[in-house]
Amino acid sequence: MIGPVTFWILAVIVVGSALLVVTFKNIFHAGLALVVTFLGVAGYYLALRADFLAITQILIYAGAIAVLILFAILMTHRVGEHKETVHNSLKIMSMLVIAPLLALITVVVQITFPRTTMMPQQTGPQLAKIGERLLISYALPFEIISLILLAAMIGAIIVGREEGK
Amino acid sequence: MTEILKLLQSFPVIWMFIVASVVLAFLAVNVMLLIWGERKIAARIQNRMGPMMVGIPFLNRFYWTGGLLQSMADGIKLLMKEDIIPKCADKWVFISAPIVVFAATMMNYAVVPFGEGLTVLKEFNVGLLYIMAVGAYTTISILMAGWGSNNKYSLLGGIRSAAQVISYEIPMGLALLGVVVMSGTLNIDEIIRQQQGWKWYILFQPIAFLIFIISAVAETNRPPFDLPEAESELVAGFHTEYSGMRFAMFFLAEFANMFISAAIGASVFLGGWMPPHPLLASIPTPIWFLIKTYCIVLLFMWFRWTFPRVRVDQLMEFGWKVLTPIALINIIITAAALLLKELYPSPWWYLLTWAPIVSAIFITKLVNVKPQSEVKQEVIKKAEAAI
Repeated sequence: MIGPVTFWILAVIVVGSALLVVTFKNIFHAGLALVVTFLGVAGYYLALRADFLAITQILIYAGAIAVLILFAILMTHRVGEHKETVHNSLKIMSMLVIAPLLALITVVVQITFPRTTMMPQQTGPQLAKIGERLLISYALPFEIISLILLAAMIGAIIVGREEGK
Repeated sequence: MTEILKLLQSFPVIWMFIVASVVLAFLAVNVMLLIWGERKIAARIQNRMGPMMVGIPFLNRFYWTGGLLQSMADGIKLLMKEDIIPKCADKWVFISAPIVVFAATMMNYAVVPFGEGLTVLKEFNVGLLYIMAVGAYTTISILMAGWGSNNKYSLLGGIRSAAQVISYEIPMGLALLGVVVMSGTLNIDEIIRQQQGWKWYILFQPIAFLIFIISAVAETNRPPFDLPEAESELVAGFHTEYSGMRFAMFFLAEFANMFISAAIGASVFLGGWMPPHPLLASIPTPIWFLIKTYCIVLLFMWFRWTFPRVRVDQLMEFGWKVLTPIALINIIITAAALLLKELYPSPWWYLLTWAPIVSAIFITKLVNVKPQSEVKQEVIKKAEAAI
């Protein structure tokens, strides 16, 4: 499946850049670290041989969502300004609160997905199968999702519209 | 020879480096030739000589072989320039922007089919989508360059350029999607193999080809869509503050990107490395690929000196309001043609994709459409007569 070396390198990249996203003081740097996180997750998809999913992850997350976040940052911050991100000073308390939450999540994940020796399923081209599932088995959710996207787009246009038009 | 190659291929790490070096060398030489070609073609269109002094001594006296080493001289000059980083600039973002731009552009070269077995990632099942995904990194690096320069004009140029790139990614993707609908695969090698003989996809998807060409010119920030880096508008846009080798990286990346767009256009629409007729198959396939790619590159360079620069709002309007709907209509028509071909088998259904072009020509010939300036003048005359 996925060897330990690949797993740990990607884990360091993903978790490290995610930590950098929340700790960078300069918000543009935080946005760039977010892009690295998305790259790491795409690396996981590739290591699990989901090629279409990896490319789509890069295309949509790094290519559209990250660019949107960076646009928002660029248009609302002055160049060269070091904005201090808002954080509270109760660091020890926050870690005490988060620790049981992490333990809970770990236990739940281990119960739901027990460690078995899984064989890799099909390593052939999955694009055709994804297409079949989307349009035949899950056709109704597919259509509903496109309706939701349409509603979101129209909502965004209405919210961002200038007055009096 | 082949035994040495097979031995090297058994060590993936070494083979990776060798392939990457070969691609990089090809890229460098190719970009130098393209820059020379651009200057020569610009000179020809503008009725002047172009670079004629710096080159191979005997060949310098002839027009089309003069000044061959000019780009190399320019490269050496750029290498020796002083490396200036603006004082209040964001140092790490400033330094890494050209690196990311070049890395993203070079990643594109992994799926370009240079010849019959000569793709770096052979039979990559999502090849076309990979090109679109890597284009996203070019966008991010432009934003990084604009931000890192600590310069209002760079920031503005960067934002405009990124907006232009993402606006034209959509028609480009939809145009390629038309070809994908017809071919049934995202694998570039497979798409080329389906274009045997005269069956190039440009004949089956003419609108997609036009949309792809226009979007490719806009994607790579080339004139007539080069407002973000135009000299009279924004100094030099997002690469104002870059000097020396960093600027050379941006310049290189722009030409490398142009080559990639031309290469993908040639592979998907013009048949890639397939010779047009089996009799001509003795010419090796990389030569065919290069001929077709350079034809499209010539087209891009021709565009540069033919059309005036497009204003940024006209550009965005054109991308969203004109190209995207036309691309969507093209996909619908292609899907309809394929469905009708399934129901009533006949190879003539493919001509349905020519319908919009034919009808557009028809309509513009039948209907007397007055240009807007004439309409405005008539309205003004009527208003003045009424007063």
